[in-house]
Amino acid sequence: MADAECPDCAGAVKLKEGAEQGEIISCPDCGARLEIASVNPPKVQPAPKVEEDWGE
Amino acid sequence: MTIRLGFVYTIITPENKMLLEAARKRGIKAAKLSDAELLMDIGGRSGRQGEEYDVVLQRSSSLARSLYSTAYFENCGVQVVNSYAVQALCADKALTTMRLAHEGVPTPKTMLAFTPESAMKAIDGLGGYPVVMKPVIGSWARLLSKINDKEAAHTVIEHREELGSYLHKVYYVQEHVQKPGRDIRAFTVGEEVICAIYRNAKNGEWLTNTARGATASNCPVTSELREIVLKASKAVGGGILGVDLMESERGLLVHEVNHSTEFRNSVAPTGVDIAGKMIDYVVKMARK
Repeated sequence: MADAECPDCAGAVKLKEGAEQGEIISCPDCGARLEIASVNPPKVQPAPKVEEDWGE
Repeated sequence: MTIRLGFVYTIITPENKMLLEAARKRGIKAAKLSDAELLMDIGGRSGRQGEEYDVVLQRSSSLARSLYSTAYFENCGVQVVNSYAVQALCADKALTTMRLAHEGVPTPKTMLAFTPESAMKAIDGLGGYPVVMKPVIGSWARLLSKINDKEAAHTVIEHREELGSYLHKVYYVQEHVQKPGRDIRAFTVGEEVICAIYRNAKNGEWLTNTARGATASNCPVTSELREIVLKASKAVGGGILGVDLMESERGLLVHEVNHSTEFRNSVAPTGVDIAGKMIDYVVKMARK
C-alpha cells in the first residue's frame, strides 16, 4: 500500500496495520501531529488543536 | 441480536479505539460520528438523526461538543451514555462537590467565591495554607494551583482576574489533602466498580494526573472503596464514570467524577477488559 504524505514536510507516513480513521499519529520525519483522514487510500491531515475544553 | 450504536468522537484516542474494537468483537458495527462533521437540525422536527440509533456512546474530547450533541440526540429520543445531566454535572467541579456533599459522599473541604476579596476570605475559611485552587471547568490538571502562602494566593487570583473567560473568576478553593504520593481512580460501569488504579505522582510532584506523568498501578477494590465509589456514582446520576479519590487522615475523599474517563494506562495494571465492560453496559442501556 502507498504511504500517506505529511502535509507539513511532504515526508512519507506509513500507516500501521489496524490503523483507524480519526487516530492521531506523528510524522516520523518532522514530528508533526497528524490525524488519519482515511486508511484506504492512506491520507493524513493536520490533527485538530487541543482546545481549552478538551478532557475527560 | 446486535444494536445500532452511534459513536460520537473528536479523535480516535487509544480509549476510543479499544471501545470500537470491543464493539466489533460483539458483532456491533458502530457508526462513527465525527463531531466535526455533525450537522444537527435543532430548529424543527426534520433531521431526526437519533432515530437511526438504539444508543449513542458519547466520546467527544470537547466538553462543548459533547454537551450540545448529547442534548441533540436526547432531544431526538435516543439514549446517550453518559446522559446530558450527568455530563453537565461532572464537568463542573463546584456542582459536583455540592452534589456529592449533599448526598453524604465524603469530599475535601471546599469553598466557592466570586471576587478576589471573598476568595481570600474563602482561603482563610479553609484553615490556612497550603490550599488548592482549581478552575470549575477543566481537565488534565489544567490551571490547578497549589497555593503555599498569602502572597502566592494574591498572585494566582490576580492572574485569574486577567484571564479571558468569566469562569476563571469563579474561585473554587479546596483544602490541600496530604496524600501518600498518589490518588485513586475507580472505574464504574452502572452499579459495578469494575476496577481501580493508584495514580502514583512523579517524584516530588503533587499532581497525580497521568497527563502530568503519574504512573498507574492496580488498586484493590475493597468494600470500603466500593461503597463510597458507588455512592458517588449514584449521586451524580450513574453511567460510565472515572471517580477520583484521595486517601486522607479522615479516610477516603472523593474530589472529582469524570464523565468521559480515559483508561489507556489502566488495562494492563488491573487486567480488566475495561472497554469490553463499557460496551456491555452500553448494549444493556440500548435494550432498556
